Amino acid sequence: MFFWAREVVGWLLVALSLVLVRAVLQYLENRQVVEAGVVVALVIAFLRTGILLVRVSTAARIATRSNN
Amino acid sequence: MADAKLNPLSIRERLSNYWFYALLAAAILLVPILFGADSLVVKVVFILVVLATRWRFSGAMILVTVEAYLLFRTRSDAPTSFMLFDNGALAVCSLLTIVFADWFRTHRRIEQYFDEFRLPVRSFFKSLLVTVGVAFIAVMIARALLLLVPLNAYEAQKLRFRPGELRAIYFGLVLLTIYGVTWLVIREIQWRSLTAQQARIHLRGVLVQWLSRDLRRVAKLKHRQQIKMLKAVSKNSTRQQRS
Repeated sequence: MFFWAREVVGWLLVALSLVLVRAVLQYLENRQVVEAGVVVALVIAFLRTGILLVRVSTAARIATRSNN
Repeated sequence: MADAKLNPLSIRERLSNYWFYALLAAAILLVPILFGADSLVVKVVFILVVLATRWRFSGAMILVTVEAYLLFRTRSDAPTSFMLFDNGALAVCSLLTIVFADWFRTHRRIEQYFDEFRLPVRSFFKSLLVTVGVAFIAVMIARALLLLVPLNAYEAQKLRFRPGELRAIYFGLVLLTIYGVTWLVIREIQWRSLTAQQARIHLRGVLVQWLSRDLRRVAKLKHRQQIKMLKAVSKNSTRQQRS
């Protein structure tokens, strides 16, 4: 159950990063390059954290299942 | 001289600390300018956030990006040089507090692993003096660097791109996102077919990565201690041979 919760949080972070990508595109439409660059850094941070959480929780689930 | 050898921070680690403290000083000096700031609570909260970045580098990156954003968005009417020097005392005091907290944290953690690395009193005062010096120099460097930065929102106007260039960036980002999402989905499907052994190896790898800083430090200390012991043993044996 705990691993599933982590995985869900990981996917939510990935989804949040995609929402932020949309914000970046809106900034670019308004020619706000600096703001877009700042949000891109946030997108990368959220995406990396999300993927890490998903992978670790999946690996932990597989390892636990084999122990049981 | 023997006390100096026991100091657990290597030159490389110290240099990385200097960079961190210089960045920290820059952040603290920027607080009043960015937040327009007379509120003590804002300053304290900001310093706590900066302090938290000592443990999580990704947090520091986010903080830097937020600061960059505010830097370009905020219009400062007051003369920059005056504000920087006005807040110098706050920066030095905050930085010293953080440096001491970090210094004690490092030594305590190392002492938890190995009793033999407990520092003698002389070395303690020497390190204390060095730490004060580092904090002071970091604040001075940060001040000098910040005086070179144009803290003016209108400087951002110069960074505006032409429509053609902007369109290339826009579509590049759209394509990159599509590629990234596809790659992510395929990789995650593959990832689920891991064997239990592979999963365990990955988990150990992640754990080691998270603890790498502390592990590296402890391993270095252990290595140095072993070299020191070997030298002492060889010195004793040559003395015995001579006598």
